[in-house]
Amino acid sequence: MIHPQRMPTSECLSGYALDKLLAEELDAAASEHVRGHLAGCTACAARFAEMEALQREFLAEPPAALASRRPSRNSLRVVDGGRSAGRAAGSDEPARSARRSLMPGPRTMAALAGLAAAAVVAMLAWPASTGDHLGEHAGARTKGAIAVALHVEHDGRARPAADGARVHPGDILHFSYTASRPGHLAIVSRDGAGTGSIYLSDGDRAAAITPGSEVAAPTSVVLDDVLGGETLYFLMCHEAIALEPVRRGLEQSAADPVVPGCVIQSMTIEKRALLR
Amino acid sequence: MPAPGEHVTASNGRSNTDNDGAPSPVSGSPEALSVEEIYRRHGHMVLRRARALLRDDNDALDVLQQIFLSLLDEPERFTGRASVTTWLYRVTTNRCLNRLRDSSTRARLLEQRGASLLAGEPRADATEWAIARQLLDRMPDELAQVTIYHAIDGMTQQEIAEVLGCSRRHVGNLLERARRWARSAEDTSRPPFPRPGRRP
Repeated sequence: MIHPQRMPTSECLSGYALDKLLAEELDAAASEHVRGHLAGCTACAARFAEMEALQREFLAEPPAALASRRPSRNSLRVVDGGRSAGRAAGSDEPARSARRSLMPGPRTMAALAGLAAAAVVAMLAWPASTGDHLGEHAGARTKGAIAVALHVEHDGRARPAADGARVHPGDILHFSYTASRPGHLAIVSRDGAGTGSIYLSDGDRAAAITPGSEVAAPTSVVLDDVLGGETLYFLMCHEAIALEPVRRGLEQSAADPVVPGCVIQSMTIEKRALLR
Repeated sequence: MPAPGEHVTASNGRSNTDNDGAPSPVSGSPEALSVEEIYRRHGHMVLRRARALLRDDNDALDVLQQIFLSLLDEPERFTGRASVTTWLYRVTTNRCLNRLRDSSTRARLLEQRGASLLAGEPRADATEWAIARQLLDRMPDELAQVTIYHAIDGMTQQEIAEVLGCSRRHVGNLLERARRWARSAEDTSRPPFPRPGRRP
């Protein structure tokens, strides 16, 4: 409620009152009071005109705080319904329907693109050369790197996730990356039950990526109900390596994977049951 | 998913403060607004106030981005108990105060303040509020907030109460405390060297 009483230094309207008028948030009485003052005060009228001009300028060219960015085209293939997620073609193991991949909608991808910069969970330098045995993000760095960001969607709201993030069954993992040069990217995981899964791939191989900034992966992952710690491994590789051996290796050993020609980083998420 | 698809409930009527003594009914029906729409309608106001408080375009743009990206990430931050303008006034003020207390901004402000002192310039405006404005980064939170609303935004005590969600009486008390704080800060911040026109 706009109250006419004020400190004795000025009888004019506050910026707050003018902002509320501009935003059409005043009730009829307050609006009449403010407009009445504007009609009789050239100083306040000038201030209000200036605020209106700033508003028009802002609308005409808003700063890019929320600029929607379309994800770049890239060669990652859409995973249909999650049937192929985590399983190589021809595998006789049934797909785990509880953990499925889905395609985020365009609004999600646009919204996530603006947030990805704050959610980098892995920064991988380009592997020194094909054939190098690089099992960790270390050693000689060459030009070029890829940054991978993770957002966790829970109950329709997404938040950036860092190492150790707490998640719940049914949460959705959204990945995005920024790359300065082409390469191949894959994301695999080992969950609390020791089961290996492939979260980002092109079929059964690491996916080819093209340079781009905050490119949203075309598929996301719905977490199943296996609780406990889950380790995600981000592989940046020269070649489109086969991922089923990597996935199987995760199930056979608790050690971090070592893949020739790939730089790998990891992070963990902690899956907890939802308390109702 | 958050904006552009996310909707937050915004009231376009009178603000409803949750202060203890003076409830105000919200008039009109709540209207669902997307974060993007709120940005387009109110972003200019956030930017204008941030520029006035921080006196730096880049810092102001950072604050604008931080506020709306936070809202995008956690739209539940806006509960709808106050109008969007009221809520954004509070959030912008708090963000700017944090920024003012950031070390690099502090260094810039000290430099600006120091430069005018070293030049021997008499304070352009000797009022306590002018002094308080210069010392926002050092003031206790509550006092800094009311100083901003009163001395920079030119708001009435009732308007300040609406933004802070407290009683007008509490605002009056805070303003008095802010005056006293500025007075004692002024006493300790006089330069040791003579001002122009005075003998050493």
